[in-house]
Amino acid sequence: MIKETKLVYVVAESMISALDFGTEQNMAAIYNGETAIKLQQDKQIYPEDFMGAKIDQKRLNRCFSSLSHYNQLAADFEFTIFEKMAIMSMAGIFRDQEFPTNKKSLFILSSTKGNIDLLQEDNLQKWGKERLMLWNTANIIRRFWGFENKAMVISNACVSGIEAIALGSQLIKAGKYEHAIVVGADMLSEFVVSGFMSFQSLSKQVCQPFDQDRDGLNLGEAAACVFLSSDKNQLAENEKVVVVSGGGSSNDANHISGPSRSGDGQFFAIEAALKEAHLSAKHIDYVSAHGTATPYNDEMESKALTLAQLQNKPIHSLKAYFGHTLGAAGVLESVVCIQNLRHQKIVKSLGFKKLGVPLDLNIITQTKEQALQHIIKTASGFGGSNAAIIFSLLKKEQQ
Amino acid sequence: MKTIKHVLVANSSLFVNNKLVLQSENPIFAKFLKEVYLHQQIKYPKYYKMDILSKLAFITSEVLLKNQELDYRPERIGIMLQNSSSTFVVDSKHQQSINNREAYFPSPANFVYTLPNVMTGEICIKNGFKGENVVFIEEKFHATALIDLLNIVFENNKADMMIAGYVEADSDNYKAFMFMVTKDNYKNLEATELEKIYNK
Repeated sequence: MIKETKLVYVVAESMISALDFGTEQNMAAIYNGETAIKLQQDKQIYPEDFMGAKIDQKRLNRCFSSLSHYNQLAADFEFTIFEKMAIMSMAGIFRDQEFPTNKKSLFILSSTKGNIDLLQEDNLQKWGKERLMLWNTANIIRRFWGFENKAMVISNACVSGIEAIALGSQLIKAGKYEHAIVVGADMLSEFVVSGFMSFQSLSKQVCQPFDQDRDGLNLGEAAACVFLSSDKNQLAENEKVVVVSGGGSSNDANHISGPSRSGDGQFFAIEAALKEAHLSAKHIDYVSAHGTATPYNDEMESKALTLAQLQNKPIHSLKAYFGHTLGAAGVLESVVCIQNLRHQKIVKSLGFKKLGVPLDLNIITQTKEQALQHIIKTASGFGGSNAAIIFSLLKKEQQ
Repeated sequence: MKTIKHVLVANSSLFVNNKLVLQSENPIFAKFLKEVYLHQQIKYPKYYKMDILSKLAFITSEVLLKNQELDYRPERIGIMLQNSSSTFVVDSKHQQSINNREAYFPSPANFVYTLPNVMTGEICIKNGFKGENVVFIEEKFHATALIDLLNIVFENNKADMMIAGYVEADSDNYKAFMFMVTKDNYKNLEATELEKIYNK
């Protein structure tokens, strides 16, 4: 199956979310069925109360300050909230293991809006327009860690994170780089909340992906990091070995703000990922879907997953745990998938009670241990974008 | 590079394969775009609802794809673009609509364009392209990075044809450079050559 080409190992993965900071802490909360979505009453973010998932900023600042023990820049240079989130997600890995920062190493940032809170009048005066530019934000994060190469930035709506991991892995397979450190981050800002409010796509309760009563999404904020490498020596001993086995993206060519009616766009992305992985639908053990809990998105996914013959596999959405974290989602939810492979567990689709999509899906209702080898993670977004990525556990004889 | 068709929109001028096709006296970007739209006899009502970045990307793609017969399946045609300031112009518009709590009127029609990849979505919708789609943010046009990524797409057999390039539309600065490349001619891409055309 996964032969001929170079293997791309997931050396380590980390995240900070509104649930908690750190991978173990987040996974414990998820296995416990906790949600980070709650009533937000911060008038700076939206004039009315709304349901969303927000990181405790005091905690973020406190944790970030403590990084000055490792890196003087954390104390000497003023970082924005977004930059702190991204750097903190990477610090979770760096604590145990140094990133290779030489010419063989590529830093990739995935985000839809980066430092978007700086567009607000007072902030813009203080920080200046250039700080809003994603290439500049990525460069500031790159300098913090000392990566020699220029950073790569992907901004492709809600599929950015999956594309970042897929392209990072393909660049490694092609021998362009040996390592890729992929970070996905987005914040809960007035800019984004007001936009989704104007679309009337936010739910007034914790969202219910694939459920018959689903009535919209919740927004969230998070940052997550995946460290990929073709160098086996980077792997920790006695850890299960996970690889990126394939990825793909596509466009619906249907509508810029509504998903395809047939689901064929998402299906093409899944097909491309399977093809690169030299796998077919029957090999997939688990599907981590996009599942925003808007009526149309989940409907489209039921069609796409059926086209791909994945409808009977255990399927979940993670949106009711973290909210929709936009450009972070692909990386954040991939970290959960990778952890599920390492722990051999499937996670229930929080918020789901009774199926409410046109085609039958096997939605996971109970978090439990299960033998897993291949997981596919999918996403869709504005602009008609779709993407899919497959993570695989290497069996002993393949290592 | 000879077999690779390319279009450049910059400094109130339109070039196709390095040949000047239209030059305008009008220094105002939006007005120049309108001139190109009329000159190229484009008829697409959805154009008028687009933000400035999508308009520029769309028009450039229309000129590029004019009179081209594409013999590939939709899911085998993709788009890969670079951009610098993301959607700063329309972002500012959305921000203005929420700055004042007494006049709070965020518009979904604006908000949907606050993602740079919506420009690739518009091109896909017009032409029915369903393949690989990705937008990179780079300080300026970065030819070697683009070629590396295009090589990966074709070497992994992920597309038969890609539209690629750089599209930037900030309040005071715009430029679009787009080319079409296939599985048969992608090896002819040269970074220095692309930079030269771009900097024309």
